[in-house]
Amino acid sequence: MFCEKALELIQELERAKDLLSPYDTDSVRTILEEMNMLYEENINVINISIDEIGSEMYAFRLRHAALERNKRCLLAYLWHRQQHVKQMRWEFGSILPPDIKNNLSDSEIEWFSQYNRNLAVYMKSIGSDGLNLALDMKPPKSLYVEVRCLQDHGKLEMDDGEILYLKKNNQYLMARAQCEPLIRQGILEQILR
Amino acid sequence: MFNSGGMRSHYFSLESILVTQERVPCVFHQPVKHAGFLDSGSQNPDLEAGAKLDLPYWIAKLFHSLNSNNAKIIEITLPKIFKENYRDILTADASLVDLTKHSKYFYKFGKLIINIPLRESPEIQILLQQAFKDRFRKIFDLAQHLVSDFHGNRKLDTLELEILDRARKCQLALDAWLCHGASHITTAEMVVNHNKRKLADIS
Repeated sequence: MFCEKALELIQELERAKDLLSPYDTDSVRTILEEMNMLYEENINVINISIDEIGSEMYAFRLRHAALERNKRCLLAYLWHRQQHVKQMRWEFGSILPPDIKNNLSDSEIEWFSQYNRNLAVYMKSIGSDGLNLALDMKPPKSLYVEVRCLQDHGKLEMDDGEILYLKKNNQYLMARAQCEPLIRQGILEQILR
Repeated sequence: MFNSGGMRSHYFSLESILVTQERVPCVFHQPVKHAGFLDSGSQNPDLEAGAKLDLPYWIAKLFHSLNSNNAKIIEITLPKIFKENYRDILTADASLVDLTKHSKYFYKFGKLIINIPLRESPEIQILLQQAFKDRFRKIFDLAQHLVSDFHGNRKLDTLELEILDRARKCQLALDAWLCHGASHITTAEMVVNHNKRKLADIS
């Protein structure tokens, strides 16, 4: 049956929707080989004499449809992964955890750093001295928030040059702008009253 | 550009790819060369006239589009879930039926079937609308009162699950806002999932 591998690829993507599984080089290659084979067969049909082409027509159309279908599946695979990578820029920040980075293909890593660069250039261009779009995702009510540290993170250099050691279970009163990225990354937690 | 409507189908939509893979029963009226592999039961390299097969929708639709008035290649018949006795069950009380039993994509598949089109298309169209209306109340209730995230075994199809998910997120966001106001910064959802997985790996 045509397009079986492509379907498996899509089903796998659908199953693991909220995490990025390793880039499946083998399947992608197999699908491309299948597409090449379909293409060759169709070229052969075109090259035979006009009289015979009538009886070959249905098989020809079927192979062409399979070719299109394979293309659609592959593109959908790449597109969904790319959307996921883009989303990760906003949730994890500009540096990805190493175990996630391992799952990306080379071109996806390149795309990610290019996206990072574009975003940085854009954020710098807003206003007179730039605007960090990743800050204040929700409207702030105060400039300082109380936070508790969830893991030993080590040194953190504050905007005024002071160095803070983040230790597990310690609580701090920090500038909102400073700690928001850390909260998003799950290193700090906001204490609610 | 494609993110706005998660329920709408587009070229890259996984759902749309998977639903066009659902099988429809068809009968071939003409032989098709080199298509014997479609029928896994036969050794013949060509597909003969009169063959009855369950084909993926995208293949069936292709042959159907090649049908002309004087030469029919393929005839598509109704899939089991849209046959008359199933329609009767759905008309009687749609809210109790397990839609996922035959297809994860009941409504989307129904829409595809309507568009073929078949003789029964108008009836199926009415049926889909009515079934959705009958079942919507239950989804509405669940969205407002469900305490945990668990909603397995609710007999809902993918479209309904998606509606339920969105409605629940809105409800939770509203609750959170009523309690605390909106300024609470939270860990990003992807990071939370990633950390959970890490913990599972350690233990």
